Amino acid sequence: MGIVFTRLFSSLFGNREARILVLGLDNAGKTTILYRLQMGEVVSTIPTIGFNVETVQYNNIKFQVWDLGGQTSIRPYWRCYFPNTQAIIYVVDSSDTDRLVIAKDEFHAILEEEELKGAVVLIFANKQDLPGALDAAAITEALELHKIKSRQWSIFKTSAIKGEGLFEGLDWLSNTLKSGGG
Amino acid sequence: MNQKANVSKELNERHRKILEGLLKLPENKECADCKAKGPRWASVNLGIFICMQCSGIHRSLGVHISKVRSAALDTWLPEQVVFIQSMGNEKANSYWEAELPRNYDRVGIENFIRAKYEEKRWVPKDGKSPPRVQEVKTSSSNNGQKPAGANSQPYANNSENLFEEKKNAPQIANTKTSIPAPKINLPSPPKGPGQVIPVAKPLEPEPEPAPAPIEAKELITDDTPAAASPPKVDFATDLFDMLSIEGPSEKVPETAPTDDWASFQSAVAGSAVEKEKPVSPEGVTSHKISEIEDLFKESPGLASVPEKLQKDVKNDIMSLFEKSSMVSPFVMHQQQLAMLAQQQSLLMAAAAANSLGGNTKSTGSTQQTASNGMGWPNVGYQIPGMTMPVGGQVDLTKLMQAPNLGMLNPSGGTMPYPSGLYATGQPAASNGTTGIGPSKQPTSSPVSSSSSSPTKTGKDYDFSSLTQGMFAKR
Repeated sequence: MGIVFTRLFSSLFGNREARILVLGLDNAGKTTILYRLQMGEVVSTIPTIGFNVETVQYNNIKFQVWDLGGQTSIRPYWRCYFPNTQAIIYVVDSSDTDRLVIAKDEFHAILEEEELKGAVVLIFANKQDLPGALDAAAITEALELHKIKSRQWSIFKTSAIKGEGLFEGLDWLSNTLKSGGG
Repeated sequence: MNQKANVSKELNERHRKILEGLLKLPENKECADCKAKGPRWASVNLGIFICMQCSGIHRSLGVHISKVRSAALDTWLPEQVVFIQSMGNEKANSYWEAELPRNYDRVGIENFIRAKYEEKRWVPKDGKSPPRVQEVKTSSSNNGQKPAGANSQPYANNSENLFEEKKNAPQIANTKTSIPAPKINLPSPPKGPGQVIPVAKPLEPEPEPAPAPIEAKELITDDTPAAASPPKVDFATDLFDMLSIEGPSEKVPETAPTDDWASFQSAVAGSAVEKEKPVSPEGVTSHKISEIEDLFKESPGLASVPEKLQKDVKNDIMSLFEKSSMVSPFVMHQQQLAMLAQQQSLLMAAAAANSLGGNTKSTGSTQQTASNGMGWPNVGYQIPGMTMPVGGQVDLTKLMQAPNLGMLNPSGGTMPYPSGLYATGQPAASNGTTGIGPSKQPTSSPVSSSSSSPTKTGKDYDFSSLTQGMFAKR
């Protein structure tokens, strides 16, 4: 029934589409998040060499979600995917405190990209299920999110394993995109 | 600021060569957990090399248990490289699998890995701390009581002894005074830049292994054999260690190990000989042999000796040296590596001569010959073995075959490895929707890692010839 209504609704009003990049250091949980969003399941992953791409339909928006590998030497190729991107989901392993500095540097490098000037930014402070995970405030601090200028952003505590926080984040994203951001 | 920014391109390249060298050691030729051939990933805090499948499981444990890096795709910090150099699969497993039943069935590798590292189910029961740096070498304390001709024992017995001694190693390490202690805190990176920079410094374009023996000599001249070397000196030795290890991988296999071999011997010969580095390695060998008794007589003729035997011979030699002149363990380690590298090349020659069609053999030689373009083959042969959660990756891997099959990389970037990816990644990105179509097929089956089996990966290893067919099969 629900599907029928959804279809009807989208045929009447048309679906919005958004191209989303999921970025972050290796082992932040990008792939797990992608499939959690797409299928609602926790999948066993292996390191992503290259990318995964899936379409996630949510809140009347068709998200084309690109999950790019995060290993050091393939990060430079993220930029190949930047054009026409409406939103970035930046995933941080909140328990990997040693590498928060690197995560911050990569994050701000992304924000400086001209091609992503209009993209809204959603930060997932992921792996909240692990011991020692920093909360959203600490991640905000560590990533220096307050330095973000003229861009809509938000941060959510998530656990891709438990499925917490992800759709709240997607709610924010869809509302922001609908209201003209990005 | 960014710690990794401190790792220059050059240093990174050296790290990579060191890691390549480590991956050629017999102990690191199979995954520390599932025994799959040709691991390309590592846990930097556990100091082990693992396959891609197991790396996925390690990643799921959380960084408080295991920090996974790719040997080819990630930037390593100097201390991480030093640590894995000093650890390796064998040593790590002597701790993590100390109590593991001999014929334990490793099906359900995820459960196995969780039990091994999360529950620590098989660590030594007597409360030893996890292995750090030097334990294995301490097996000499038992070996030391053996007669000098210990290597004349049947090798099988000998290796058993070593195995047992290794199990006891952590205890010994604890009772021993302060040798291992000062520099062991490797997992926690040195904070001061002062410690990081010196690492980068000696790694200038032309590495010369010569300093290592000199350093060793200084240590040897200490009167007490077990004299604790000051941490600073040790660290320097580490650096030289790193320096000289890459020798073998940079040069032609035949000649490379001899260099280190020479330094090895001069180091061991100790302060007795103040000699210039000889021109001909053969000269050194013959000269030193007389000093080191008949132990080395076997070494020149290693070519035909099976791998296992060689290893044992090596161990014996090591133990003898430790007994006579307590060289810094790191120097020992370097020499060990040098020897193994030598064995490697000899084996390779032997394998070629015998023209064995076996998978493992051909794998070995592929690795060797492909060492100049290490990035591509590495990535390549992991991929057929892995279970793709999604079509996008499969797509990419198809594209990625191109460089492997000999096509020149059009972009030819300065970065030796990723440039291929760049070339392949870009079309995918610019095509936009092309990646999406195929990706929909497998989405419903996010394959679990259960399909990983050692044999499969072993087969996949021979990438160049097999992949085409494999992909067709899929």
